[in-house]
Amino acid sequence: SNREKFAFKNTLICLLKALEGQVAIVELRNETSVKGRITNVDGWMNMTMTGGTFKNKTRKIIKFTDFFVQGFMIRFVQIPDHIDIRKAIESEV
Amino acid sequence: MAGPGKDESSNVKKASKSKPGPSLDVTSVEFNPLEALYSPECIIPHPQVRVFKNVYEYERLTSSDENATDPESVQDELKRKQPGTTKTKTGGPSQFRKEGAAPKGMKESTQTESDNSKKEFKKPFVLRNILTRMEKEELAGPLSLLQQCLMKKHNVRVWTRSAVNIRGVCRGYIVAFDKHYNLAMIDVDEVYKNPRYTKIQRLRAKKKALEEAEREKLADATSTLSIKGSVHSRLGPRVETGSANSPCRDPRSIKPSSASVENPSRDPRSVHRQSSMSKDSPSRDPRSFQRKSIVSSPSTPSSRDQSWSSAQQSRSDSQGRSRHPSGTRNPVLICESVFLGIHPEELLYRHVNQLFIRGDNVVSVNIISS
Repeated sequence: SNREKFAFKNTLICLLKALEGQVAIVELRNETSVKGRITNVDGWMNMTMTGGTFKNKTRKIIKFTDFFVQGFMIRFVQIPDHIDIRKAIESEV
Repeated sequence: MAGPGKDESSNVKKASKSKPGPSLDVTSVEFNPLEALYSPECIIPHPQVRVFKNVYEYERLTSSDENATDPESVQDELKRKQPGTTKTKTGGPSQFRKEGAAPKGMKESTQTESDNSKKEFKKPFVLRNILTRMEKEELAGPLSLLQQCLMKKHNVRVWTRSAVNIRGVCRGYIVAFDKHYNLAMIDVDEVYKNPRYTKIQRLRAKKKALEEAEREKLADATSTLSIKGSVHSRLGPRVETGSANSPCRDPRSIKPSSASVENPSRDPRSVHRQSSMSKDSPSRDPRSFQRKSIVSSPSTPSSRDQSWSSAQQSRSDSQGRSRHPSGTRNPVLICESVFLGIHPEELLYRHVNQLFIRGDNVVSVNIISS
């Protein structure tokens, strides 16, 4: 949609779009974290991930094959070291 | 149609020798447009004329300027708008010949003309994406500060929030930002605390505190004050349910410090801290902590290590992550804990090379002056 396209081009969601297919750790607002391969990011930062391990608040690890995160629940995304942020943004835009 | 066609051709032949007949004269009543289209001798009063595909196009362009009713002025305007079209116009008859002979060519030229007109009617295309927005020179308002942090590569402190508390502080360099305050940061040291707010965890914490209090009472009886590397429960300050806290407070009055002299003076401070959340009385906590740091500097590192390691063992059940490298005092941790007004032992620390922070969770961004 148009709103999504605008979001992709004008906000840092383009950086997350460049992370599609990479393994990253996504930390959520409820003190939980997911480590997995990001398959898809949309204009609202909703993410689907595969092959993930989900870490509970109490550090309990649960394994999932698929994981969907609402955009507004995300707090941090740890970007893998081998990705250059600047170049990733430029490639997406 | 052969008959009239023959007549036309004979007419054309006649006309070619002399002046154009009435059928070819545009101004005459007997003007025959079909003949004029195919005859080479037809003279057009205004040869420098734009060719339209159809009547509608003409109407559309001319009606846009209602003031210009004069056909010449309209044509002048159209000429101005399409400078490229004049090249294709050589003369009246030859133009028409071209049109008849090579319709494709004319079609293309008319199409380009219409495209040109469309382009020139459009505004100039301005590229706008996140990079242009970040690097915009005349960026006004609070985001200009973020832009400065980016350009000058300031070391920056970003406060992050949880629901109603401050979660922690991220220290690093900003690489990219946007209007939502989503930040892409590099070389990030994060100091944070996980707020505990569930009932079960509180109960667990109380239980542990009681157990630790019993242990310490036993320890008190046997060991001397100077070597006392006492364990203090991590959750003490947060367990703030009024009078029920009294059993929990006792062990905390003995803080892990080798300076025994400080202990009695610290009791009211520690109690005070327990009663109110640390952020309510930030002035007290840093002072108490600073005092401790000054006092403990001459202390032997071994005793401190003992206290850290014992503390860590007790906490390993509740959380798998260690506070900070055992035995060493992380300067970042100390600095940020002073800022937050929280005891450094209650904080978690980690280093992330590249971090993306969603703008929702950013409270404020401060530049650290070097």
